[in-house]
Amino acid sequence: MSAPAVPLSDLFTAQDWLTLLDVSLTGIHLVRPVYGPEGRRILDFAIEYLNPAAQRMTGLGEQPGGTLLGRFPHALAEGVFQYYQQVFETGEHRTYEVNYQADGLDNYFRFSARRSGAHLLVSFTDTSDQDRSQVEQALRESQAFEHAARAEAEQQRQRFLEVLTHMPAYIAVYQGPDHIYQFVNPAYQSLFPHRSFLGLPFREGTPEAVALGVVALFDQVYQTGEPVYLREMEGWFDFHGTGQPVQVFLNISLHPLRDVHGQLDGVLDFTYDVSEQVRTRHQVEALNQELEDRVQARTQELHDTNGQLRRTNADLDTFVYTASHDLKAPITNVEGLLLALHEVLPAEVRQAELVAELLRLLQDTVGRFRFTITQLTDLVRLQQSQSGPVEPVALGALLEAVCQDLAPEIQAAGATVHWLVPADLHVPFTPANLRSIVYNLLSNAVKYRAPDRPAQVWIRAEQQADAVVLAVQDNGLGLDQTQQGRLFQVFQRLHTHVEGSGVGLYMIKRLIENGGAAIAVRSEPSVGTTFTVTFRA
Amino acid sequence: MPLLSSVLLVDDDRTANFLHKLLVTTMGIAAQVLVAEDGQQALDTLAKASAPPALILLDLNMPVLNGVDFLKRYAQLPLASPRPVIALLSSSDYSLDHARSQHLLVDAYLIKPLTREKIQGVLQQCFPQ
Repeated sequence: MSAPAVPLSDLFTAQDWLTLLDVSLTGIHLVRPVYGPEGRRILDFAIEYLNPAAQRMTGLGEQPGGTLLGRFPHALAEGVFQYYQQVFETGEHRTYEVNYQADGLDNYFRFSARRSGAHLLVSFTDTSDQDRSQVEQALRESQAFEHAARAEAEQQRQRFLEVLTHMPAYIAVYQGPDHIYQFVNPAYQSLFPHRSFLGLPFREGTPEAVALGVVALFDQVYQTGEPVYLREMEGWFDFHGTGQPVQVFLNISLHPLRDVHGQLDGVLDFTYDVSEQVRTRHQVEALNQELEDRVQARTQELHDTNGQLRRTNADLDTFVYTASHDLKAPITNVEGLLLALHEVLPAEVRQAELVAELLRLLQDTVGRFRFTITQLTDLVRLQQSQSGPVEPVALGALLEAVCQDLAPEIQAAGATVHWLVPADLHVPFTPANLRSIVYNLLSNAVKYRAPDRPAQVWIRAEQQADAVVLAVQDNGLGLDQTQQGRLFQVFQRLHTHVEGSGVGLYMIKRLIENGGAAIAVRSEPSVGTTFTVTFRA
Repeated sequence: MPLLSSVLLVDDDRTANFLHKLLVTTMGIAAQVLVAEDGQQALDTLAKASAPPALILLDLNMPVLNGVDFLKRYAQLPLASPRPVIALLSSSDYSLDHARSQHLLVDAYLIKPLTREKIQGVLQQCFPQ
């Protein structure tokens, strides 16, 4: 550099220097060091002047006062203060470049400074203060956009992690084909307080999963990109690091994770513990099974008891039948012997008052004995043969037939039978049994008539909503409460002056109830009795 | 004047046999009264007899060989001529009904006790002359 022909101090007037400061595109400022109490160490720089360009770039006034670090605290961290200090202390001319993004500034600054007596003169450029090319502008905008997008993505990622962190499920994120743990949420970690997962492959972090086949599922998800769901998988895990595996039931969802290019790069494991539900259900199932077993055992017991009862019943029936049959032969003989006696006795002996009475009583007794045995045999036979097929029986026709059969008895009693039965009324019942029922009721109504008034019998039947009701009413002897209570018991003869074994009502009650019907009685002594039979229709 | 050459009474009950024999004798309807105490004895008696009896009063319920089994065995023998009239007896009408349903070679079913009237009924029905 050749020496100038004219010294600059002569060429520039003081006004020129000031004008130069005003028109300079470069920021120029003048600072003065501020020393510590000992007077040697520079603590800061007082800002004494900024030219218009510097004012524009910093937003400060021409003589704003204050210090470098007071106005720009980050000048220390960014090395600006140190640069000022070194330049001032060495007296050399130095430059410094910094990307200053703090204290309201966001730019790339270039500094050039030199000590001038007690002052430090600093000039600086700010890239943002320059007119930018279109390319640079576009680049900066794209960078700003990317920056914002990255911030947004980062925010979303943070939010996502926060959700995963607080989910009441065991969540882990794995990366790569070896499923390296990248993230486990606190719930997951707290399951295995003694393990650390991050950076380990899944098969090492959770070695139990290998035998359970879960690692293979991870591989599958990672290879196919298809999620996998496992419901109520039973697993045994050493949660407490004691070497004692604990049984759990887990619902596991494995989801593929992809990078920004859509390439599979990991697996999200979302698992929750359903042990309690499964165990509760197992408990309920076990209880049900136990209940079922008990019911079955009880049913078997009942079945056995029933079988025993059936056999006992059959034995009893056989016994009663045999007994009645065996009794029949001797009583028949007695009857025959009596007849023979009648024939061989000389007429005068036979007609003697006492002998005649004895013969009559003997004949009576034998007759009653025989009748009772016949009833007993009938009873047993009834028990053996009451299971005929059920069919609709026309009640009117049946009544007519029974009345005809009983005509001699009805006539002998001087009884009148009134009946009111719809012609088309049918009752579903075993025909022979229904006939026995009607026969017995009508026969009883005639038999137990009141001696002091003409016997009247009313038979009514009607179809009700879900039943057919048959009522047989008489104006006969009637029964008091005690008698009504014993009415349907076997061998209960409530009236002793008429023929009867006391089997009849017991038999028909059994027939009625075995056929799913019901019988009721309403009676008043010396007024009459009404039997009501209700058949299911 | 006896109507029949002989009558065979078959019953395990001696009282019944006694009564039936008394009845038949008193009625004077047969020249000879034979008695057997079960079906087997009856078959033996029939085998030994020079001529078949005109009437057999057969009890249904007997040990060794009962009435029904007797009838089955009897049906396998060469047909006697004239064929005896057979009346089946029982004190149980139920047993009698049951036997009736088996289509046996029986002319009358009689419920015990046997009476003069019942025997007369059989005679009138089976020996009209």
